[in-house]
Amino acid sequence: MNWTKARALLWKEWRETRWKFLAFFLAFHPLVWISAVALLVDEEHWFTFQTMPAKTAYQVMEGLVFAQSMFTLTAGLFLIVFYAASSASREIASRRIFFLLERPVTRWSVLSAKYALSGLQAYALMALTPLTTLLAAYIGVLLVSHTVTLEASWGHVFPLMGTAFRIGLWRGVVGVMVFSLVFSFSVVFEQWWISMGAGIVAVIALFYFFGKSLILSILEPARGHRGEFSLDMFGDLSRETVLITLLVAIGCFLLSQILFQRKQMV
Amino acid sequence: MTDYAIETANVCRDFGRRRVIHDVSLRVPRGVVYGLLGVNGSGKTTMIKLLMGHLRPTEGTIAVLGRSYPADLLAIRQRVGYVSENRYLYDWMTVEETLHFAAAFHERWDWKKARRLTDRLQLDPTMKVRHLSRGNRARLCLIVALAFDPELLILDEPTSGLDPVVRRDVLESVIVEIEQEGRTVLFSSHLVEEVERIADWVGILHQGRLKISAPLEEVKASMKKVRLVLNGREPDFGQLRGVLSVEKLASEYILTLGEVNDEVLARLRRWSAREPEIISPSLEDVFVESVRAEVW
Repeated sequence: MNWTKARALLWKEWRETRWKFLAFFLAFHPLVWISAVALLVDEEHWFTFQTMPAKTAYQVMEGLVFAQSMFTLTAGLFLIVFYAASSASREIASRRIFFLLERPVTRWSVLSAKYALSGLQAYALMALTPLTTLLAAYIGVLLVSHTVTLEASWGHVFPLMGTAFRIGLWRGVVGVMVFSLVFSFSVVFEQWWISMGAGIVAVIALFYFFGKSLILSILEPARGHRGEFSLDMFGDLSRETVLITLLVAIGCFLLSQILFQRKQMV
Repeated sequence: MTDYAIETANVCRDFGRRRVIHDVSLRVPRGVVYGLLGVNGSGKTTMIKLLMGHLRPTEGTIAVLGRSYPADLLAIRQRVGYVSENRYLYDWMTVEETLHFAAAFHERWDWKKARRLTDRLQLDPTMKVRHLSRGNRARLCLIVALAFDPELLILDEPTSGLDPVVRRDVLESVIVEIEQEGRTVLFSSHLVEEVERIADWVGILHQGRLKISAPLEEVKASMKKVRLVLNGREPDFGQLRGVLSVEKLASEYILTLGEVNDEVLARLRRWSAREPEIISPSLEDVFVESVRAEVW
C-alpha cells in the first residue's frame, strides 16, 4: 500500500470517527464532570475548594489520578467495548465498504487502516485520560483556589503528571487488547450490538478469570517495603503482563484480518 | 493480448446448497457494449460480483482483461470501472471529497476528465452525497467509474430506479461515448428495450444459466415469427419442426419458430387462408421465448 492510499484511508476513518472519539473522550472523564457539577450546585463546596490548603489540593489531585486510572481499568474497558463494537461492523453491514472494495486496494489495507486509527483512538482514551483528568483538576484549582499558585505548585504537580502519563501508557495496552478482541467480533458480526454483547461477556470473563491477578499486578509494585502505598510505582505493569496483553491484541488483529479476507459479502 | 475483455469457463456459484450460477461460459469481445439480460433473480448481480472478484466461483475460471483472480485483483481493478446496482457511496462526503478519495486509489485518475464529466452531468461539487437524488448518485458513481479511463466498464442495472431523462441523456450517452473510445462495456438489465437500444452484443441469463450470448442481430435472427390466418380448423402445430410457441389473437395465430425453411413454409401455406406473414422478432420476443420455452 502506498502512502497516498494509506493517507486517504486514514483520512476517511478519521472523518467517520472524530465525533464518536470526542464523545467517548468526554465520557472518559466522569470524575471531572461530577466534580464540576458538585462545585457549581453547592456554594459550600465552592468555598471549601477556594480555601483548601495547598497540601490537601495536591492530595485531591493524586486521588483523582488514582480514581481515574481505576475507572479506565473497570468501567473504561466496557466503554472501549462499546467503542469498538461498531468500528468495522457498521460499514460492513451498510455495505458502504463496497465503495472501497471496488477500488484497487486490498482488504488487508482497508481493515488495517480501520484498526490502526480506531485502535489508536482507543489507546488514547485509556492512556491520556488520567493525565487529562489531572490537567482539568489542576487548571480548576489554579483558577479557583486562593491558596495554590502556579509557581508554588508546579514542583509538586509536574511529577504527578509524569506518573499519570506513565499510568496511562500501561492502561492503554490493556485497552488495546480489549479493543482488538471486540474489533474481531465486529468483523464477524454485522450487527454491532452482537459484537458489543460478545465483548461485554469477554470482559466479564477477563475479570472473572484474571481480575485478581490483574489488580494485584497493578497494586503490588506500588506497595513499598514498609507497607506504605506509593503512587509513583502504581502505574507499572509487569513485563509479562504487557507482553501477554500485546500478543493477545496482535493475535486478535490477525484473526480479524483472516476473517475479513474470507468474508464473502453479497 | 486476448480478444476477449471477459472470459469465463464453466463458472458455477453455490450459496449453501443452492446453486445460483450454473456452468456459465461467457465471452465478451473487446470494444463492444454487451447487455446482460435477465429477469429479476436470474443471477445477473451474482455473475457481475463474480466478474468483479467480490465472490469466488465454486467451480470454473474467470479472466478479466486477460488476468485472473485472486492473483491479479489489484491490476484488474486499476483497469475496470464498476458501478454496482446499489451505488455505494459515503453519505457524509461531498461530491468533491468523493472524487478526491477515489482518485487516491487509481494510478491513472484523470482530473480533467473528472471535472468535464462533473460539469457535463451537472453535479454540484460542494453538495453532500446524502443530499443527492438517486439520479445524481448514479451520475457520481459513473464519474468515479470513468475518471480513470477504464478499459472495461461494468454496470449492474445502471438505470434501475432512474427517470427516463437520466436514463437516456446521461447513462446511455455516456455508455455510447465509452464504446466510441474503443472500450468495452458490460451492463446488466432487465429492461429489454434498453438493451436493444444500446447493446451490440446480448447475453440472456435465466435461472443462473446463460441461454444465449451473441451479437444482437444474430440473436434476433435466431428466431422467426409467422402470422397465420387459418383456412379451416386448427391444425396440430406440434407437427411443425422448431415451433416454440403458438399465440392466438382473435382469428390470427402468431407462431414463434426457431427456423423457417421451405418445408415449414409449405406446410404453413397449406393451413393458411392467405400468404403467411413472416415478422422479424424484437429482442423482447427472443427474450420471452428463451425464458419461457427454455429451448436454448
